[in-house]
Amino acid sequence: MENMIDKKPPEEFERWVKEKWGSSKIPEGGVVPYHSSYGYKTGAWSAFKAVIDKEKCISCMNCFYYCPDSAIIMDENMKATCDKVFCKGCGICSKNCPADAIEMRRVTR
Amino acid sequence: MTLQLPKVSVKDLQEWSKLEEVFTSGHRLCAGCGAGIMARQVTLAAKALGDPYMIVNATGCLEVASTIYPYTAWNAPWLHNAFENAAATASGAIEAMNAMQRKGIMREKHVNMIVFGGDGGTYDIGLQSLSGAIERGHDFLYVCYNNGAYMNCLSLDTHILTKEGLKRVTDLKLGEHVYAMDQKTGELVLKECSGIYDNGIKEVYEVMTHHHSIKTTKNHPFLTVQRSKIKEENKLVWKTLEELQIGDEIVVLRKLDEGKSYTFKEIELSQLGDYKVNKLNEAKIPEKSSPDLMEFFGLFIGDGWVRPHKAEVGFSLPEETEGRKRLVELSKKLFDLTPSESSKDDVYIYSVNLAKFVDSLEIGKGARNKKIPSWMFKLPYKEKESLIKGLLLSDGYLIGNSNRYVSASFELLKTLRLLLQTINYRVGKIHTQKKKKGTFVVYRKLLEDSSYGYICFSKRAEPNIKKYLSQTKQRDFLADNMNFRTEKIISIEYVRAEPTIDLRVEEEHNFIADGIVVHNTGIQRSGGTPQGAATTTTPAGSVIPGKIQWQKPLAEIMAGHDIPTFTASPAYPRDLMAKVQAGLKFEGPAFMLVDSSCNLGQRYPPDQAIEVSKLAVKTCFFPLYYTCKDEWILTGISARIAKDPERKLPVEDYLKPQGRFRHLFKPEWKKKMIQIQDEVDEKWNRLVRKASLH
Amino acid sequence: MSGIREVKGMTGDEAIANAAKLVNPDVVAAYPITPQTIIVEHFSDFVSNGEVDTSYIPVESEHSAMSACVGASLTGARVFTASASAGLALMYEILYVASGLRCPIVLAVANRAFSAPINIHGECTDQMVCRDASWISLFGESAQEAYDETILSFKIAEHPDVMLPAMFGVEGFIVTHALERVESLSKQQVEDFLPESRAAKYRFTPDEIMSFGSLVLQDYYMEIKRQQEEAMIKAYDVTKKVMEEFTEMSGRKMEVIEEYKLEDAEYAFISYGATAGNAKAVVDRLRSKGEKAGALKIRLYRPFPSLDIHEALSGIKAVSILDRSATFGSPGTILQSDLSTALYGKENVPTLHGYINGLGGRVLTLPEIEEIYQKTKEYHDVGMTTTLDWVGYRS
Repeated sequence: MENMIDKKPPEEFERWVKEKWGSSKIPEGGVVPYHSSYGYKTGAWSAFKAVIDKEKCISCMNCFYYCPDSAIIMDENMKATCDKVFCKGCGICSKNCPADAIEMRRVTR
Repeated sequence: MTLQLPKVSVKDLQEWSKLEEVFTSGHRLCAGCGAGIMARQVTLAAKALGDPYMIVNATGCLEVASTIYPYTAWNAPWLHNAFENAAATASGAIEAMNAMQRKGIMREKHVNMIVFGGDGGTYDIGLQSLSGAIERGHDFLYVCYNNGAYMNCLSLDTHILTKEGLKRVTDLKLGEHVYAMDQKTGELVLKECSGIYDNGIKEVYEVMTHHHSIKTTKNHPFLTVQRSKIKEENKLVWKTLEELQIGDEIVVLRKLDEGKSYTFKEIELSQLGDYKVNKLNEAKIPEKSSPDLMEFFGLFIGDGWVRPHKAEVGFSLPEETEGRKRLVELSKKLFDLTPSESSKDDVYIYSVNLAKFVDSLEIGKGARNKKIPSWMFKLPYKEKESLIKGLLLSDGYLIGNSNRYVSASFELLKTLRLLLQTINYRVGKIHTQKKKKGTFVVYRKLLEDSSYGYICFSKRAEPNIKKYLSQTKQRDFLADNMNFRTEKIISIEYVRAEPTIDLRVEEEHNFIADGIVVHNTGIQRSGGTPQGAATTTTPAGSVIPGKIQWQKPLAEIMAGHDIPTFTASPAYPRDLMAKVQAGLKFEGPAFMLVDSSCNLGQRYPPDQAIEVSKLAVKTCFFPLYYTCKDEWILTGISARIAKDPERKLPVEDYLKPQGRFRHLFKPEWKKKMIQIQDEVDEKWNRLVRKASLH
Repeated sequence: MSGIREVKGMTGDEAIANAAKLVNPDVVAAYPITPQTIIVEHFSDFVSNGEVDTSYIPVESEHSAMSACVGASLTGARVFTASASAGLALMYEILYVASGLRCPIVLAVANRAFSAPINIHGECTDQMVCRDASWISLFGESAQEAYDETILSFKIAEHPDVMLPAMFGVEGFIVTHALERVESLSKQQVEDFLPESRAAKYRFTPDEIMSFGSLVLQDYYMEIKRQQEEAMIKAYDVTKKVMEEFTEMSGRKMEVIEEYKLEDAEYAFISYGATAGNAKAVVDRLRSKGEKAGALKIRLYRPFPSLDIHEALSGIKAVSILDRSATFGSPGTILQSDLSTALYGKENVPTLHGYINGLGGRVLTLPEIEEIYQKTKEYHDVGMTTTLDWVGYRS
């Protein structure tokens, strides 16, 4: 599973979750002082992932802007690629690709 | 238009894809959630502007699913307070930053404030704080993500022809039989009324033909003649008032079938010796109606009154008038009673039992509250004509070839008019006249300024259909129909917003209201059904109970505040993002309504979100536009559809993919589909008209 | 360091407005409601005349007022607002949000009775029912105390160990509209007294990635609430310390409770708000008749000053609790219930006799307070440990 962007939560946050911090350590008032959702891998929700044929991709940007989960990442050539760690397999990208470059395929691991 | 939308090209979209995401992966919205798509596009558009931005979010799907502690998918300063106060919270934050910048505690910078609210937190509970924040003029963009729907009706003083006679629509009971038109044979039939619905206050219009008038809402369907160049293809179709124009022919009642004499209900007669009965003028109380009796009642309705506690039935018929003479004759003939003619102006019949009898017939007691009771509508023609004769003897007179009847009771005039229509008389509209104190009305001097009404009517000659059928059909499409005819609409005018009501009639789904054939409603409404029991028709999906209702016109309400208002759909990201940027750049409050697909609530597979939203726009269910201070501009596909109406898709295409509307595709709900299409069309046409002013 | 003391006649509302002027908050978002309107009106005058540099937000309801305050406070601004009775009830939902998000907002309450029936006069129920919302809660006896508590509350609330919102109240009309002698402070004094800005660790600003108000499930909710309780516990000491500093700065003695002739007293009154003033007057009368009477006034209501009260009441046989707040079907008045828990099982505690009085602004007269004193004595003599009575109504 190669990813263009390394999506990781802050290191402190990983400790927080691992150690299950209590009232003396968590920030006051229920504040979350950084962005942390990368710690929750939603790719586990579905066995289906978008498989993109880069040759067919015309960089129309449809899939990128239609994906609710930011699971489409554009590479340096502006071709789309799917972030399998977070893709929920909804299939919107595949449905709306004008170049027919995306297929929802069942992947295991 | 002072507000300009920036141009967003595909190149821009590609450039912006390099920005770090604001609303990132890892949130827990459903797979394929429209709100997620919307949030990403809005925040990326904001980021692309370059200025710092902050987000305040009302309680809702977006907020809850994206920040399950300690995970947060917001790569931005983000604040959630409560359900209904996102706009107020944003106001506080904005003003605080202004104050701190003024005091030098915070560096001066322009911050783009975005406020997200779902339809719940905005339309209903959040409307107060949103409107307040706008009124104060804080600089923010409020993005409301949501969905929409609809309903149709009669004014409360409509009269319906039922088996038992004419009744006010508000007096109808469930299960009663009403007259309807059998659409296959064109015959007059009786059908059961299976639902009565209180539809609340709606805008009501009055439709008038030469001899009929009725008040309904714009989307109420009438049966009308659709003329075609080929004579044989002329046919009857249902059209809503919105689609009808002056000159269109609608189906009205010609006459009811011949009725039968009415058998009066038994009343308890007093005997001599009863409480306060010291004297009894024996009266022969009739059992059934007859022409003479109806003539008597005609006189009574025109000039009479009854005071049962005084055992008195009186008539204001001066000496030497035709009316008095005839009354005395009738009284002796019918009841064996001789009236007292001691007064110059009035005649009295004293009889406890006669007074009781007359009082029991629902005709009314005094001058201003008379009406033609419902049982008189079922009488034979002859008896009805005698009634007219009696009426004319009292307050009517002949003007040229037509009769004119004057009365202070408008309810009387209305019911009289309907009665005349059932015997194929032609009746004009009800005119009002104000008369000053002292003038003579017929032969009475007015004691004070009064307003009176009058109607003119005359018997219609039966045309020779056998000889001139096609010519007569040209004038009256239903010339060969015994009970129905057509009339041209001469005016359609807005009356006011009134309480309204609607019926459901089994099988034929139409009924005769104020003499006109109209369609019933197919939908039940949640809450607000009078008479305790509107039986509902097919219960539809469990999430939305088959009722479809336009929610508040939120975009229009916000536009009414004179702020930039946008509608957008995430299916068209370039349009949406351009609008977000325009809204943020604008100094002051701006509002954006986004169509957000929810595959869970709307019931379709997760990959449909974009397609469904596209259909919402292409069917003009959710048009794309922006407006500020009464300038309306359509954008994207909506602009193209306005130029080329062929592109507009039927609303069915939008409803079909959604499981929650599946029941609408059943045959019995076809009329409802038409109504929804009409509603969508009406709103679309209004929008196009507003937009075409520029 | 007291400087020249300016003395003026001010009503309670005016005093609060003037104190707020010296504080010069960054944001005031308030909605008018009798008897707090004067505060808001005076303050808007100050804003219009440029006497303060405050962003005044004319919100459309109290709920929006508190919401705006929360939004403002989280950006790091100093925030002030005021309300009463129905207004306080309307913002109730957001009071919890404010304390949950740890916003040091200061709220002045013009204590007024709740509807129905609608009554605009002084009664402390509105503030009392907020005692569980995790707000610091103070009561004031006079216009002077209203003035002082305005300034105090900011320092307590904004203390880094506390970071909880604070409310203080004075009775509507009785204090808010009555002209009294008030010693003012100078702007310099207040500026020196208050920290320059919130020592907030987390702020809602354009520069920092932060999420306030997340959805917290079963696994973290209690921990976040526990933090509030720990802040409350610390707030007790913080309040005492702040009051000491205030005493030194102003020359007026400020303490969490005020003891009046309690050292050798046998029977004492406990009260808060304006009634405390009457109680002290009655103590003097009784003393002149040879009675060993004393009075205890409570200023700090939350966190409840259990230890101080316990110490103050040592040697007292019976206590008359004069409580101007309504509660029904309860084992005691609101104050009595708290007091009872604070003293339960401890050594040497007095019997507690609660007297609900003054509802809807009814005056509790000095003779009536004397009668209460006698009644308490009788109760104590017959061995009753706790009683509850309503005083001053016609049956």
